[in-house]
Amino acid sequence: MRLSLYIGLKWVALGLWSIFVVAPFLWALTTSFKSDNGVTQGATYIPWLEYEPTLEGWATLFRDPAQGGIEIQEPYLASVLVTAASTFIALVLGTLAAYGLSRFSFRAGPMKNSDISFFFISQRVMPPAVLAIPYFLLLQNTALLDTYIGIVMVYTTMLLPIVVWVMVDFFNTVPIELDEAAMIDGCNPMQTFFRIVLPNCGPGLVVATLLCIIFSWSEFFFAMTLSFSNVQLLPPTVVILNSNKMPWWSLSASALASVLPLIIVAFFLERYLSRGRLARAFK
Amino acid sequence: MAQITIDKIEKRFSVTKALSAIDLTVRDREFVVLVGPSGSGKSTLLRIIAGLDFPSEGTIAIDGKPMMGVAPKDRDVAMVFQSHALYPHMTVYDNLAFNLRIRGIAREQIDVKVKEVAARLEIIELLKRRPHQMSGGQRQRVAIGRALVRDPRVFLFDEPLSNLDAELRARLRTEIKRLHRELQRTSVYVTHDQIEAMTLADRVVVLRGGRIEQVGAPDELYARPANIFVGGFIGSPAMNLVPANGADGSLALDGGERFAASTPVRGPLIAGMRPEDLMVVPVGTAGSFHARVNLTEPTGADTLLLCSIGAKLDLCVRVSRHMRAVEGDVLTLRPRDGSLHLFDIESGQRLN
Repeated sequence: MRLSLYIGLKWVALGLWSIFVVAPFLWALTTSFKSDNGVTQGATYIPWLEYEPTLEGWATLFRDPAQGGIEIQEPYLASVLVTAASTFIALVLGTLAAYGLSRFSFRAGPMKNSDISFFFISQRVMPPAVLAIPYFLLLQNTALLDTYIGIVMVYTTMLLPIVVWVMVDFFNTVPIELDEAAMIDGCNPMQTFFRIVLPNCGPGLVVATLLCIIFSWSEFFFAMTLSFSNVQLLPPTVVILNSNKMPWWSLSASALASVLPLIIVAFFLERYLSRGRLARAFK
Repeated sequence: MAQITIDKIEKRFSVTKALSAIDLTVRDREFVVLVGPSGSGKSTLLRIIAGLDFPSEGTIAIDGKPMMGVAPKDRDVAMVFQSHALYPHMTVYDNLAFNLRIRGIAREQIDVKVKEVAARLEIIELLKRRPHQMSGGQRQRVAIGRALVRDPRVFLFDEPLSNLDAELRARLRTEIKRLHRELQRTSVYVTHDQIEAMTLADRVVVLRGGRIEQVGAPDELYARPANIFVGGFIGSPAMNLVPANGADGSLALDGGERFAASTPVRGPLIAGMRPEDLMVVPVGTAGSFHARVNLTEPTGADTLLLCSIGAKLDLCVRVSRHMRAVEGDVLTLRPRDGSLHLFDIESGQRLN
C-alpha cells in the first residue's frame, strides 16, 4: 500500500516536472510550424485543428540569406567545430592531469593534491565577466582575437576544471592495486593509464564529455566578446536573430536546431552513465 | 634461478620508520613467508622487492643484479594481491593473457599458455567470465593464474587469502604449497596469519615494528623462539608467558608455585610454556606444580583447560579429549623435558 502510494506520488512529481520542462519546447516546436499570423492568434498547440502547419520556418534555416534565409549554417558549423575541438583538448589534458592528481603526491608550496584539485575548480567560481577583459587583451596582444585558435583556447581553459574535477573523483574509485598489478604485468605508466585505468572510468569520461559539450555549445559570453566577424558562433547568432525583426517561425526553428545536438548527444551517452556498472566492477 | 638479496634496507614515511636494518637473503627456489602483526612492515618489504615502493636506504638485488631504478615490469616478478586486483573490464581469459600480450608474445603461444594454466588451476569454465561474475575464491584463483602464466623468476604474495573464508583459505593454501613444490620458483609470501606462515614456509621471517625478530624454519621458530614476541606470536593457542623468579635449580612462578627446573639465571624472568607441553602428572612428581581449572574448552581432538595459579595467573593447558576435567579440579602439571622457554624480563631475549 505504502509502496504504491510512493510510486504514485513519484509519477505525479515527475509528471509535473516534465510539464515544466517540456512545455517551452512544445511551444517553440509548434511556433516553428506556424506562420506569423498563427503566432499572434493566441496559444494553440494542435496542428491542422487549431492552426495550419507550414514548413516555411524550418526552410529558412537552409535557404540562402539572399533569398530570405537566415545566416545560421556557418555559425552552426563553427560552433560544432569549436565545441568538438575544445571538448577533445580539455578531455585529453584534463584526464591526464586528473590521473596525476589521483595517483601521485604533489606539492606546490603549501598546496597538496586536494588543494590543487580545489584550485582547478575554483577557477570556475569567477564570473566570466571578470575574465572577459583580460582575455580580450590577451588574445588581442597575441593576434588571436576573433580566431578559432583563440576561442578554442579560451573554451579549453573554461572546460579543463570541469574535466579534472569529475575525473579525479572517478580515478579515485579505481583501486591503486589495479595500477600496480598492471605495472608488474609489464605496463609502463602510459599503458597502465590507457589500457587499465581509463577503460574502467567510462562513466566518468561520459559525464565529463557531456558537461564539456553542454558548456561549450551553449557558452554565450565569451562567444559574444571574443569573436565578431571571422568566427561567428551559434549562441550569439541566435540571440541577434531575436533582436532583429525575424519571423517567429525562423526564430523558433533556429532555437530548436541549436538544442538538437545536445539532445542527440544525451541520448547516445545516457546508457553509459549507469553507476551501477561501476560499483559492481571493483568488489 | 632467482636469489633475492636484501641488504640493510630502511624505509621511512615522512615521520614514521616502516623498516629498519633489514638484512635477508631469499635463496633460490625457497618459499619464504614474512609474518607479523599489522604495521610490522611486511607488506612494505614485499612492495620494495616488487619495485612498487623504494627503500630510503639500502639495496636489493635479484640474482646479484641491483634493482635500484629497475621498474617493476623489468624485474621479472609476479604478484598476487590481497584484493585480487583483477582488471574488471576484461574477461578471465584476457586477464590471464594481458601480461603476455603486453610483452608482445605471439597469439598462438598465449592461447596455449593461458589454457595450460587455466587447466592447472581448474578455471577453464571461467575463462569467458568477468571478475564481478565470480566468487571470491574463484577470483583469487584467477589472480594466482595471472601470476603463473608469466613463469616469472619470483612469485610475490601479499596476503592473498585474507579476504576468503576459513575453508577456502585452507584449500587454497594447500594449493599454493603444491604449486610451489611443482614449479620450484622463489616465492615471498606476506601474511599476518601464523598458521599460514607455518604451513607454507621453508623459512619464516617474523617482523615487528619494521625489524626482523627472527628468521628460521617453522619448527625451529616453534621450538626455539628467539624472544618473547616470537614465542607469543607463533603457535595457537599462544604460549603461556608467566612471570617467574629463577633460583638455584628451581623456578618460582608468580602465583606462588615453585618447581624444580634448570635455569641459567637467578632473579626475575619470563617462563614460556606451550599449552601442549604441559603434562598432567601424578601428584608429587618431581618438577611439577599445581593449577586450578577455571574453564574447559573442548575443540574436538583436544581440550583446552584454562587454569589459574594462585589468584591471578592464567595458564592454558592442552590435553587429550579423553581426559575428563571439570571446573575446580586441581591439576598437577609438569613441563615436558626441554620444553621450557626462559626469556629475559627486560630485553625479552631468550635465556636458555
